[in-house]
Amino acid sequence: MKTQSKRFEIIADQFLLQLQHLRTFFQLLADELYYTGQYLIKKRGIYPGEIGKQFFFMAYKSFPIVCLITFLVGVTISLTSAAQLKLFGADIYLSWFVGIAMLRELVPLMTGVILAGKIGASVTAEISTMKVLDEIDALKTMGIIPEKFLMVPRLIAITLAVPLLVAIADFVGIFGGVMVGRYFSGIPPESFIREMLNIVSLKDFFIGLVKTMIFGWAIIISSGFKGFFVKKGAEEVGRATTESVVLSISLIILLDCVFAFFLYF
Amino acid sequence: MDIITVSDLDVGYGNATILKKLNFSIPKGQVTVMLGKSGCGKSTLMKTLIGLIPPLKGDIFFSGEKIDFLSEESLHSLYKRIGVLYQNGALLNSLNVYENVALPIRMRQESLKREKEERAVYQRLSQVGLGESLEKYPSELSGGMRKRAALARAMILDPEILFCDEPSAGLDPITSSGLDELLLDLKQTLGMTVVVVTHELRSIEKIADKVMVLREGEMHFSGKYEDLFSMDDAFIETFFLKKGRNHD
Ligand SMILES: Nc1ncnc2c1ncn2[C@@H]1O[C@H](COP(=O)(O)OP(=O)(O)O)[C@@H](O)[C@H]1O
Ligand SMILES: [Mg+2]
Repeated sequence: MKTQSKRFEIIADQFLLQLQHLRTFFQLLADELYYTGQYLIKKRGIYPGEIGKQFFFMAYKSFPIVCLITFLVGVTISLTSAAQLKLFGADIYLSWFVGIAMLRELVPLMTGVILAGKIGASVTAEISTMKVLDEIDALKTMGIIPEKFLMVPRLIAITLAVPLLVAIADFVGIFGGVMVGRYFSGIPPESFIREMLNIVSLKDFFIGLVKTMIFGWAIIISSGFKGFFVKKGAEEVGRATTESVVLSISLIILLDCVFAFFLYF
Repeated sequence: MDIITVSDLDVGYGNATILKKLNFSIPKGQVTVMLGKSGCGKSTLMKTLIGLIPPLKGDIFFSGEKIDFLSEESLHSLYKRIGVLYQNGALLNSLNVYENVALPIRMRQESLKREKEERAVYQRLSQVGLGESLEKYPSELSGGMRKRAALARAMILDPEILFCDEPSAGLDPITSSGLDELLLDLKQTLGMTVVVVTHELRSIEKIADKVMVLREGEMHFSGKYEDLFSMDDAFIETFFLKKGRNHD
């Protein structure tokens, strides 16, 4: 009897702790929105030139891998669907499928996952290292708000980098589809594109863009959340970094599911 | 006159009390030295005094005003008055030495002209003997150089109170005594209050007006430097004899 109530207590404590974490996460999110707005109005509180530096880092660092991955995904998904469509003699509809799937779903998802692994991990590693080395404390006693100084440039930079990455990824992913259409299903590229434009519109591009943007913000907030709450010790940096990637990817998939409901339900 | 007074202060992290029942004051315009074994809580106490770790119990008064750890405003007005040298320097790794030292100016006095900024930064960096390393990044500096750059950053805005956590650890005797001169100079010319954590007997001898000795979670001694040795206390004697022997 006694052990049972003890067990219950442990579960309850765990639950409360998780609730506490959830609150901290949303608190950070609200703070960051506030600080970003405040920066955009007053142009103060972050280091001059930092946005450009972060933008360059984010766009440049993830550009090659985003291209490679979306091309491969484009090819894979096209081959899979082309094989099925062949059975019905509906080869030409490959372009519809690839266009919609890439723009709306696969590019946002893959770009999000890559950004989580590349940018999110490095943001968490950087911030948690700063925390462990007292740099965050040093910022505070210099009268600087670390949550603004470190996070706002990254949030703005990812907002600027995402459209670029999405546009390139869309292009490369569809190019993968065109290749498969050409060499596997014998669809000439012109017909592929013409057929695709019948159904794919700018709206699809923007849906994908907005989704990726929100994934990007989720990644930066999650990374900051995991980075700032490291207490001490270098070994915690590694753990926080891993956790931040897991959290970002889980959030991306959760948000994606929510979007799907809003778009199609 | 005292610039900081604390009453019945317990410091620590969460439910771990590191130091308890502290009652002391820090005199304005003087150098106060804190000492104690490694791990006894000197850095923790310093972080509590500068408003980073809320006390577990008791209050801290700055010029008679209580620090309210829940109020951003109270903390910010405290931060405006202090400069801090952290135990491991805590320079920002993404900025070079010049930019690190200029950071408080750039963030707090944005309107300051570029030439004035440069003059202030050069002056502080040459005072700590780093006039040549402006362009270097923290990762390219030795531990002692990082500390000195961090000291330049801590004093760039001429704070009312300068906190230094082991400023001379890892420095050679010559540079270290140069730093002592610098701290004394800040006290004499600017009337700055200086709080230093250090183990170096030589520098304590040279700079200390007041000494606080921490031991086993409590304040073991707090008073004038001259009174330290007249107490005939076994702990203090071994502490200083051991330290002294290491150096001679
Ligand atoms: N962030 C922290 N959380 C919990 N305990 C800590 C933390 N930082 C330091 N401690 C503990 O507090 C004690 C005092 O540490 P510290 O103030 O750094 O000592 P000192 O500066 O005198 O060498 C040590 O036992 C250390 O393990
Ligand atoms: Mg210490």
